[in-house]
Amino acid sequence: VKVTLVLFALAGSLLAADEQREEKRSRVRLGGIVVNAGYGHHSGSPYGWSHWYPYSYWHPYHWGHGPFVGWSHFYHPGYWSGFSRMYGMGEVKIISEAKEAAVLIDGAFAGLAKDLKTVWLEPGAYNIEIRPKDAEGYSKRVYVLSGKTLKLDVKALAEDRP
Amino acid sequence: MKLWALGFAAIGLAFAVEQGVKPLASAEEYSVRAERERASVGATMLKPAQVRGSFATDLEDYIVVEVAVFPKTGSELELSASDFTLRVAAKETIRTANPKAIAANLQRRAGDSRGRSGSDVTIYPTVGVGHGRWPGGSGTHTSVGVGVGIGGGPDGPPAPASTDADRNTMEAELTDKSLPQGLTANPVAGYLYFPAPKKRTGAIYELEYSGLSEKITLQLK
Repeated sequence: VKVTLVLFALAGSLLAADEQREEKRSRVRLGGIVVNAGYGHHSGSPYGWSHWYPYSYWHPYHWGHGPFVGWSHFYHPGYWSGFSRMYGMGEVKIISEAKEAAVLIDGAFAGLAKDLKTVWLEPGAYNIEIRPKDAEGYSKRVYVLSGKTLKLDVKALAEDRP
Repeated sequence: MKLWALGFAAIGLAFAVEQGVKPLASAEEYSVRAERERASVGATMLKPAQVRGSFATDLEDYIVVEVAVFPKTGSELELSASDFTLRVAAKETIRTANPKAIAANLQRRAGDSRGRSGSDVTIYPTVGVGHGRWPGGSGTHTSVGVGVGIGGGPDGPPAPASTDADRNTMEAELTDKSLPQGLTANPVAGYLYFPAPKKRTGAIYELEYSGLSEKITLQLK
């Protein structure tokens, strides 16, 4: 719960510097979506919804104390660790012209294409989805093996079989 | 209880990975094809470069054939990988290899290659200087020696694709992309894997399918 609160505090501070939040909440993961609900204290902006592209983070906030509900993408654990190289991992090179495209791994937000040229993952099968901001997205099931490099060219994905 | 079981089964189906690959529009779009009363069959043998581009698993010792089956309207077919065989130069007959066996074989080989490279053994040169006094002696003795130590251990990274997780991943990839088996009334496609013969260059390959009343023989290009 503490970690969740810390992450939430970080996200909140990035959303708006003049906002201060203090809340207790529980999370339920439904596929790639995290649903948040709880009771909190908010100060700063009045009633409304915040949207933090590309994280699709919507949250109703209001003045004073009260319940809230919101939802966001589930963040892939690698988002926080930078998908850095570790013992026994495999490499995925993402080649995308759409630098602002969101990259999702198994439905969880992993980062923007411009920041994720190389991703190190544990051996396994993953669904990688590239979602450009204003265009159709593509997804591919990839198989990562330790010590091997896999290239994921978004242009090739687009030309792949429909 | 039964309701829970049904619920879990439904969730499992919702997240199940569809086996095989998407069939092309018709059997005509494959390198070779044949038509029978109940179905059309198309096949394309992948070139080594295509295999490398399509699979994370190293299949250089296998012949990979993409097969598509198009049942005629109203027909249902029971597909089984064991109904397909590869004939090499009209002499040798090769049966399909199953994904589990391929993955286990590749993992074992990857592990062996690490041992052969000698990377497990490390030689440590050491230099020592001794200084001592012995009973009855009136002086000191100084000596210098050089020693060599040999050690080993799991201190390096595993060889590529050699871990149990790699084996499971390879098996999953080969299974996911293989030709779906079982009863089907819809077009299906997927890969079949055959162990490569010792002499591949210039060999003529024929794919035989015995799942229909009439055997189909396709000469692969």
